[in-house]
Amino acid sequence: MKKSYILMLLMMLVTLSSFAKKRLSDEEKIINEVWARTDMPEFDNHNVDPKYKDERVVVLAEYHELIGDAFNNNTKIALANIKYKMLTRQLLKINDNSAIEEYSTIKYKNNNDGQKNVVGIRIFKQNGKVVNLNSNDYIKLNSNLKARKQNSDITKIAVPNLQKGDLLEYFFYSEMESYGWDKGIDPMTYFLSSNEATQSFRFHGSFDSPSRVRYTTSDDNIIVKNKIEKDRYLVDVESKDLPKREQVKFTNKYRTNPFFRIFFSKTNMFCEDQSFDNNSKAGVVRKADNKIIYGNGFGWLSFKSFYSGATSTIEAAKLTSLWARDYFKKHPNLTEEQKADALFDVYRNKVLCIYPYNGYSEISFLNRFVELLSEFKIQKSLVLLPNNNYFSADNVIRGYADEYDYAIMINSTGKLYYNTFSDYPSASDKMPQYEGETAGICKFTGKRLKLHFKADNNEISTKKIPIATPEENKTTYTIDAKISDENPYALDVNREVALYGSGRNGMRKKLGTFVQYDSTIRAYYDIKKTAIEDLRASKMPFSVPNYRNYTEEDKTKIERMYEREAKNYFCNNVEKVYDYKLHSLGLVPNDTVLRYSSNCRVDAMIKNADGTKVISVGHLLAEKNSFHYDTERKSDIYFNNTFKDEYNITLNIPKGYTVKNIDYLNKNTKNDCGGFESNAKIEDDKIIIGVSWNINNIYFKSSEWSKILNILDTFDEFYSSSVVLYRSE
Amino acid sequence: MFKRFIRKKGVLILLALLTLNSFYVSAKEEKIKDIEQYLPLLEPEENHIVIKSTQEIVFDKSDGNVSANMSVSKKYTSVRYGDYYATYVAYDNESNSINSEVVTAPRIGIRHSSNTTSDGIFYDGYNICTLSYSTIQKGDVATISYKVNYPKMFYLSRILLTEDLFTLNKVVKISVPSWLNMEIKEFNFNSSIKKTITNKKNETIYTYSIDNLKAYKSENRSRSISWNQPSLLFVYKSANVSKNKEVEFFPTAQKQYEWYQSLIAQNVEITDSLCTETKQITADCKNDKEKLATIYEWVQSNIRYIAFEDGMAGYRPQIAHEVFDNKYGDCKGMANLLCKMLGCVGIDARLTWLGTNDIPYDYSTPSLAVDNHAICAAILGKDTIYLDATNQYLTVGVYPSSIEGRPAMVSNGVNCILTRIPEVSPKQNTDSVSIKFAIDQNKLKGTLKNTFKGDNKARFLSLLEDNDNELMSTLHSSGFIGLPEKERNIKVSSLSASDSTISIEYPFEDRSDLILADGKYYLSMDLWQNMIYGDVDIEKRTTDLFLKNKKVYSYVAELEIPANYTVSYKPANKNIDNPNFSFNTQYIIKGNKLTYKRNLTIKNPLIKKEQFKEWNNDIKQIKASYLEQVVLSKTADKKQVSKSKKNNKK
Repeated sequence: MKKSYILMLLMMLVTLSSFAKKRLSDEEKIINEVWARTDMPEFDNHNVDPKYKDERVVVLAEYHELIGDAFNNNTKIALANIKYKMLTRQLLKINDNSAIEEYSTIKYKNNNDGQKNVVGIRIFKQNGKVVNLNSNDYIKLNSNLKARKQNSDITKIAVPNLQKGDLLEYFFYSEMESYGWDKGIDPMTYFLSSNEATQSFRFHGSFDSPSRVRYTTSDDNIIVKNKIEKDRYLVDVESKDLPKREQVKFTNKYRTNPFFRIFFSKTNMFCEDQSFDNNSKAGVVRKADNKIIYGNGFGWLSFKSFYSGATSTIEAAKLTSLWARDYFKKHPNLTEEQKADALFDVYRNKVLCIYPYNGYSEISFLNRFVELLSEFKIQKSLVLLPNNNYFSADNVIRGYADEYDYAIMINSTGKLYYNTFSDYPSASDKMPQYEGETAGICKFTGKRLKLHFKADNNEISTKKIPIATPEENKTTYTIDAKISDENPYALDVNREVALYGSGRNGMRKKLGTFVQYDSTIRAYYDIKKTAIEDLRASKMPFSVPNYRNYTEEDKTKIERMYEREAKNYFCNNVEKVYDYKLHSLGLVPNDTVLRYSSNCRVDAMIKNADGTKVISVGHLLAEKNSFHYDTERKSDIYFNNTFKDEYNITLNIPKGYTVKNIDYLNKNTKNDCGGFESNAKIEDDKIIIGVSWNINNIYFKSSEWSKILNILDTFDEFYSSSVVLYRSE
Repeated sequence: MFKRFIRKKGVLILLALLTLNSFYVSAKEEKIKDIEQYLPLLEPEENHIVIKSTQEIVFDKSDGNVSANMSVSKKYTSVRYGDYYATYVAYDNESNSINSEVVTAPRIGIRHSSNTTSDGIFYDGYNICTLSYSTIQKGDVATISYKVNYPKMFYLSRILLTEDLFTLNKVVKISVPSWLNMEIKEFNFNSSIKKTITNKKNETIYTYSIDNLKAYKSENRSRSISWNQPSLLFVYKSANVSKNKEVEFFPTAQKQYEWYQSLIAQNVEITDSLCTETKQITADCKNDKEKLATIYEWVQSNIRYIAFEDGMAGYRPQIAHEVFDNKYGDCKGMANLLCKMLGCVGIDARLTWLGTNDIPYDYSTPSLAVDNHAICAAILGKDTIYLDATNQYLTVGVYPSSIEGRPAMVSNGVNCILTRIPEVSPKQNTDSVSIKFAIDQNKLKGTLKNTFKGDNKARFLSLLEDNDNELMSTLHSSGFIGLPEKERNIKVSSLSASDSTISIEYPFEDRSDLILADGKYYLSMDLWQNMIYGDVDIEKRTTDLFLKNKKVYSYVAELEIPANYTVSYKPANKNIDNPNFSFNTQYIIKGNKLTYKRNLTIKNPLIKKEQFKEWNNDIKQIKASYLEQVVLSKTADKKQVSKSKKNNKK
């Protein structure tokens, strides 16, 4: 056994070393070819524009090349096996030590089997000498000898003798093959901005067929030239003088930086064929259809393949169906929306219960949900949702939406049912990441997603996902604070928190347990069976111990979760959490508000001045404003969601102390972006402070920054405020 | 060898993130009864435990060489809910290799990852064997066992008697054959470790047994695991490898030095061009002192620390001219280059080995576990100056806290000199803040100047470099307060490594520490508040507190008292002085100026567990001092107050 193992290892080493020799000569050939190329004249310009002379690094030239050729018979479109050749080349001027440090180690990652990776590096010294890096300096790290795939190699290169004033030029060249069902490199995204100023940027694509690729741009200022020349489809993008990215808060990388994308996938090519970019309704159908048949990790596998594989959703749907037949009989007056809510909540709960936290296929989850809706004759549509956190599209129809998500809409009211992994969602949850986006809507004619799904122009529409109002995303804090008996510098603070909007989903995950979630759903929907009984009734009996393990583990974490929540709120000044409680998960129609309370001792809230106490009441607000803002801003402003935070604060004045004028706590800034308002009064032995602050939208033009700054500044002013308790004379 | 401890830890973290390649084998079913009996022994979040851990070490001789074999076997179960586990064994196929890996559980995985170099090291040739199993149910038993072979036994220099899970019983058995002369040194032992020695005809068996061993958890602000956990250090002296042949290993530090020298002897150093260039670099220097400083600075700023530590490169310094040409090297390579360059200009410079403050051992127990770093010792007249080029920001004679006071082995021809790096004064690492401000429109406005020296300077410059020299973001992340909006309003001194201090100065504005209520100003004079989160949880903490380095935080704030106002209350001065640190504050009124001075000096960064109560009390006093407010009242008010007080007295 031992001998055969050693022999195997030796064979592997011999094989690898013989590959290494071959690769070395290939590498040298490619390196020489790239350096000898004359079609990249921008790399001959070694002059730095005077306006960039103080930058730590200047990119003098950046070039990307992408060549795609089919190598099997299905050259037309969808199932082509494609060989890609990719080249990225950069010429940099190194101006300071931090740049030397950064560029003296170059790393790149190899991702696929059979991929050829070549790196060329050379340094132009200030005395005119050119130093070519020897490929012996390359070190491969983290390969996995015993695993079947060597799928995570990292190559590290130590760049020798790099000094200030040097020009560093390097390229990565790689070749890879992608098979019909494989998503491969799709899509390739090229940003026309980076953290360094770039004097020249160029992309060149060359493909064996115009049907091979499709491209999109983030805005109309990016000019993409294409032509057919010598039977090649050529795509070119060129730009000069690209400034550094602005480093600001409240931003969205994909919306504030120009980029273009090259798509290879058959899905998108179908769409292109159908004039997707021209707002064709058919394009949406095609796209939807193909995504569901082929998309997202399932490749070209038949629908049945993943259908049979997703046991947890099948079992959950069966159990839900049985339950719903009975429940809907008992509640004959439910509206379509109430029925859909019930189906979603119960079905989702059963899916989580059967296989908690381990996820499932997004498609299989939605498919079962569609089937349930079909069973109870609820008309629905598939919704394709651009996700505003991931890419720049504001319109699916324009064709950017290669990474869109899915939802199901019931047609009668337009309500959307989202699919999210790992949290404890409910039918009432809204997902801010889709707000403001235009979704593509495809009505179902059949009872399942694909089997009877046909393109029908009459059934296609679009829908703008509304942006939640601040009121809809409201959070209220009722805070009762008094000076601690244990620590004269601390306040005992009891917080009652109620979340009404999009914050609920995340907070359920932070503070809730699956047992609470499960019991809430079962109680509201009058489900007699326990989760364990459901599991036993399903064909997944092995899930019973998994479920028990999961719920037991959940129990051990609760205390720490509340401690973390309190520390996050009070900037780590929490000395002790006395008690906590989750009153409601805000899951079900008769109780959609997530409520919890936390009682803790917060240190450093009281300052002393000869017996007078100065209490940092501003610090009773959840801190949201601890970073630096520049008054000047060029890029537009993106918030994750709208919000309205309301505080009702009661500070108990201890015996022997009095409070005088607290008018300075009253603040008011309001504009069309939002506002901050606080009102303080003294009632008996209490200081009562009401605070409300809100941001009204998720997107603002950069010209609105001063208004937002006014609001943030007022928040900051209040946050810095204290009240003074005088010793009674 | 170098940075090994850091590396191993880093590798484990890296590997923990890797997914496992699992396969199935049949397992013998075994179940623990009455599993709940163990619950009282565990922390609330502990679930998975080791029932039995055995580690056996035997030695073998062949062909004049001595090898060591370590067999490890562990039985696991879970006590609250089903759980999974993975353990990681590092090997490099040169100093050690792994074999006979077996995992028994319903679903298991064994995976080898090669070249798993962690961050901070460029390349170390290390591989990791991951032994894992998927969830086993409460009370079920899984086992993991493997063997590690050390072809030269001195690569097995120590073992830690710890486990990362609660362990009901751990046994370590070391069989020392009579032909092997070695010593087993015990560190950080306590009464829970039972030791037995069994003398047999041809061997002596040392057995260490521990019951109910708590899981090792690293704690914040703590020294390395080697300082805190029990360990066994192996000192290999000699072996009768054959009838008439005795081989000496490291009976003394001198022998260890000779082994290092034998590795260096294999280097072919060509110094002609190196010396030519070194002489050019030092052409303008008037004396040896200047030459030394110039060469040190040149290496600091031109040679980057990139650690190649695979195989013997972990022990053998890189050749000097290669480091010079590449402009990078590890600590040994950089130290060797420094020595050679200094030698080129006639300065006596010697390669020096030492263990950083992560290592609790010294050369009285010679072993490869004793050192993990190399520097250069330059001899100028009667002075020996230690030069650590891996720290690119410290000037000559300023020693980083990682090496100050550490035992060192300095080359001295055929012999070595055992000595210590000098201890440093806290003043070497000074962080001084000086603020001058006045009250202007209910804000504190003025100027702030922060000056750094020593480790504090190095830390700031390192952070700046990590932030791509973005000054504003560095200042924000370093906790600078009241910064101006524009970077152009910030004055920065030269940030050269050769300057002993650096300073940051800017117009300061802050509103958070000033309250105007009822016509009086309440304000904190201490806006910097060093060491605010210093207290420890006495009940939970198991290790000494380690504050990294000796240092001085000096803070002076000068307030211009507004016209018509006077200081109606100033807090009492504070003074705490103990062997670990001193803290004192002073409020001085002179004319229309109120000056606050605060000095916090860490004299000894190690706070022992038995000092925690006193430490917490002191920290409480410091925090209270920071929360003291100055009150400024209108002059008339003060008169009224004094009048009323006088009236009250009457």
